[in-house]
Amino acid sequence: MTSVALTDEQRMLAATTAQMVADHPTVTDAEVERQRGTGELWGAMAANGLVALVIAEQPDDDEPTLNAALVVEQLARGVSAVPYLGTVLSLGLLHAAAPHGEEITEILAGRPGCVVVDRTLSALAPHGIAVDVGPGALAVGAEGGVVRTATLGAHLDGLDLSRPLAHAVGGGTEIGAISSAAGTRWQAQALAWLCADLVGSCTGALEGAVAHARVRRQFGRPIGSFQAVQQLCADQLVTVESCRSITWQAAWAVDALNPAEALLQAQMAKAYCSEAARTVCEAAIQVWGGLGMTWECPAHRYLRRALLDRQLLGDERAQLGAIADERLVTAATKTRVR
Amino acid sequence: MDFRDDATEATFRREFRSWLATHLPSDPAPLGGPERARFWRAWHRALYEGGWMGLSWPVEYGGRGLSAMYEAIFNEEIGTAGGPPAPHVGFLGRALLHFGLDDQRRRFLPRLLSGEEVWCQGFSEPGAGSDLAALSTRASLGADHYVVNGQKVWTSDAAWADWCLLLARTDPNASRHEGISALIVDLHQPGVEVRPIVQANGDCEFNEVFFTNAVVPTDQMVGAPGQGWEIAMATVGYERGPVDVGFTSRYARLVGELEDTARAGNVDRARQLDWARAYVQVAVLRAHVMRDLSARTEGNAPGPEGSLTKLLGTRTEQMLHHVAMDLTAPAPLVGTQPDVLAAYLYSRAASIAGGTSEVQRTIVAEHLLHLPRWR
Repeated sequence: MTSVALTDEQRMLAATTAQMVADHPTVTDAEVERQRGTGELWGAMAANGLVALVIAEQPDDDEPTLNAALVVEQLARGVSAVPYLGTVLSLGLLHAAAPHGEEITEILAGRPGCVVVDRTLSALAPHGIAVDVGPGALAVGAEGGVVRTATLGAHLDGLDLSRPLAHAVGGGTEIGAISSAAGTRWQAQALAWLCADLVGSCTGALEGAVAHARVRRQFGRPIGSFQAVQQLCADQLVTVESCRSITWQAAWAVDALNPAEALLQAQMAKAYCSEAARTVCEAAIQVWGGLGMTWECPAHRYLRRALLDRQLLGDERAQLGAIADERLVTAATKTRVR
Repeated sequence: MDFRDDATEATFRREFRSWLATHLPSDPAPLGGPERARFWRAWHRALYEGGWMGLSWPVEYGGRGLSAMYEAIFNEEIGTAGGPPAPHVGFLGRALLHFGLDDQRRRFLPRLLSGEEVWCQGFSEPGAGSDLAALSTRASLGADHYVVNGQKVWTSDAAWADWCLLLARTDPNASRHEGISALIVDLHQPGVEVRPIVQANGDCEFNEVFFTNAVVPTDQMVGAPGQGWEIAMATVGYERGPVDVGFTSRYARLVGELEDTARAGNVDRARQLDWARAYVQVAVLRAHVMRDLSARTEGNAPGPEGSLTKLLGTRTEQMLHHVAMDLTAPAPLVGTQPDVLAAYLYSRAASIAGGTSEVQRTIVAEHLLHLPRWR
């Protein structure tokens, strides 16, 4: 039967990840610094097989993209400074190009990976900017259907405080070619995971703001009892939950539908979540009030993370353009299929 | 997780699609008057005789006992085929299913499903809109009947309805919420007068209903005396579901029609992107409704999550009609596409009817976000 519900195992996966994040918080500068030094959270994740799950071909796991999306969401919900997204994205590329390459072995052994995009952050590239650069990361990019590694240069002063950016220069090695279908599938998967990161960022921002609204008192009562604040928060929850629904659909589609269909689902999700996330994170700052403008408050960390996700591989304008081209321009010469 | 039909659902979809191909009404719905009533009765009747009404209702009351997912498929296919929206029997029927006596269910549900008898919902009053518990229509207990006096307003379909699920105050001394009961009122009696309201779009769906010593046998009370508020809240819970009221069928149809418009050669890029945004919004609503329905088929009636879904449905409807007006301009402004204008104006009701968006957000804030109550 059609069913849009997580399995018990998937709920457990999300809960386990959430617990790891709670045990190893990386919200403050000091916590981020400490985590980068010890690598405890990254170690815990690798030990739990959370990286390997994206390429594991277990007969009882036919939803690796959705499973990884649930992990990504929980990490983003805690603005976790751990290079999971970069690692699974690069692992997907490596696996599509050379499923038995030594680079895969390195990553499964705990080396972080990161992906290389062009200077607009909107497409994979052989050199340009590396995203989510963990300690000692392997940078992976692509050009013309060929996956290559790249050499990392200096770090950039990127806005996202949880996922560093660095220059990526040429000079890496060629890993191998990927088919057009595999490239399309990777694109769909990457968009779905970026959406999961956006959903997690919005969720964390809204939860924090709502918790603040429950206890912050003005005029002798909690500000969360005022209709103006309630209405704003309720609208954000509508947005967040609908983002979650379309993100689940996009992540599910990568493993269930053909790559072209999955890409359309992913573009729709990315168009929706990119636009929504900025709105939700900004509303969270509003609810936090003056505190929301401080470095100490986590609101700006969620917003920064969401703004990077929004731009990566194309913001809402880019996705809507692609959808319009596919449905209105390309399809104009075909018969209407609905 | 699976967003696709399973084999049984796919067969159902195929069968309904082929039925629709030969049974769709050829003309659009008339805006008002007896023609409008005849049109809806005929469409309802055709669906019923095809075996498509009450898909998720129990078999013993004329339904087919299927999961709510079939109602979603039913709606989608009507929308894709460009048919009139599905008759909205769901939410009133649910009140009787949950709270009615067995005799009442057997008497009323099959004819509600078949369209032989049309129902309306007598909730809102001139002095009781968002504050529904302020209602003042009275039902006084006599020997074996209640006597009803008062006025209802915004009552959809009352002009051609046979029965009304009425909220009335049966105990003026009880607290606001506890003094209310739910009654099944026969509208064909001298104590009932219905006056249609001409809406902003020229349509006559809403009515005022006046009760002057209208009589209701005591065995036509739904639930117990004083249970009216609980019944009303359960009913509006279903009324808020886009599938239960058949609205998803309207959205799927409209976005498909607009796709053809947006594909025409003279549509500029900005308008094409507007269409794409509406297309995405409909996909988001569909994915969310399926998630909602999956939770319900696991055994949960609609709770406060229904308010969240209604808010999302309202956003979708109102955005779609903005895009429809813009893509077809200037036709609706110069009288050549009055249906687009009428539908746009009607879309403004989405954030008012069935509980305003402000009321829905308060429910979401208090019951899903657990923010402190404001009053």
